Amino acid sequence: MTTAADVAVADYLDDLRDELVDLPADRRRELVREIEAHIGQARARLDDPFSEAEVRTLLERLGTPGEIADGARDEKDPAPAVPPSPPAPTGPSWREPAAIVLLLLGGFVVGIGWLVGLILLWWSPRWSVVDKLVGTFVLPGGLLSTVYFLGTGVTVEPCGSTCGPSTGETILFLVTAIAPVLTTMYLTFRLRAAR
Amino acid sequence: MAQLRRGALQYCVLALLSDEPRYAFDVVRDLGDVEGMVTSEGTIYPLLSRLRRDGLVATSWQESSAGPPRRYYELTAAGTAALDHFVTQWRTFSGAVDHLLAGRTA
Repeated sequence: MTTAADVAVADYLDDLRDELVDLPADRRRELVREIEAHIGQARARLDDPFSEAEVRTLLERLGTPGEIADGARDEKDPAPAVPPSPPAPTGPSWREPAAIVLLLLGGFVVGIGWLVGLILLWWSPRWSVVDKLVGTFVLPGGLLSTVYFLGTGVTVEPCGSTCGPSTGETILFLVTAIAPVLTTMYLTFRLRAAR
Repeated sequence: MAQLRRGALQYCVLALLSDEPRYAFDVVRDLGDVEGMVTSEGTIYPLLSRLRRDGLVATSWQESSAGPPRRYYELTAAGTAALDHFVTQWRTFSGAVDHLLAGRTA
């Protein structure tokens, strides 16, 4: 038969397991097992092991599950020799937005705007190397390349009987127009994900 | 003060095990019965666990006729050495503190 005292003990152990979730599984099991054994031994010594009031007093003496969990966290394996990892480098907050804008539109700014964007991109610690490679090669020049490809596409292709942009030209234009925009969205997304 | 108490507490645990192997429960109750030593008995179990990982105590689970199995703790050679070292240091330290605080009423 389950008594109110048993329920109090079961609730206490459940709370303890919850409080210890951030501990390694073997440490958690060990601690819960020992606390359970302690409660069993302490109850056996009570005048009435099934008195809810007496059992609650016993649990109070043991401390709250939160206090025990704090004690367990304080006793983490001694590894203070490893200093805590320094906070992620941030640097000036204008750098990343400026890089994104200049990579997309900088080509139109006296020719070197895109290069400035490129320098800002590689200077920033908040993008990975892959992110930076994407930002560099898709597409060099940003939207200026789109205009450039559009221009060469129209002039190089011979205008046959059916004048106007061919299917190839249309695809090329769409790709070169969409790629820089996708890169901009990608870099913005990666920046937010890194926060 | 919490730091000082915590630092000394582990040696009190070792001292309670120095004569003979004992159940964790008895060690915990002994410490809990001393005024000003621990407020929550349960917090001694993580300390015992760390002493075991540090190799200062050894443990074994023993089946019990009544209730769940109980854990038996005993001092290792390293635990005995650590305790002896602490006792020497503590005597000097506490003597020095007492000397410097002598005559204060508060």
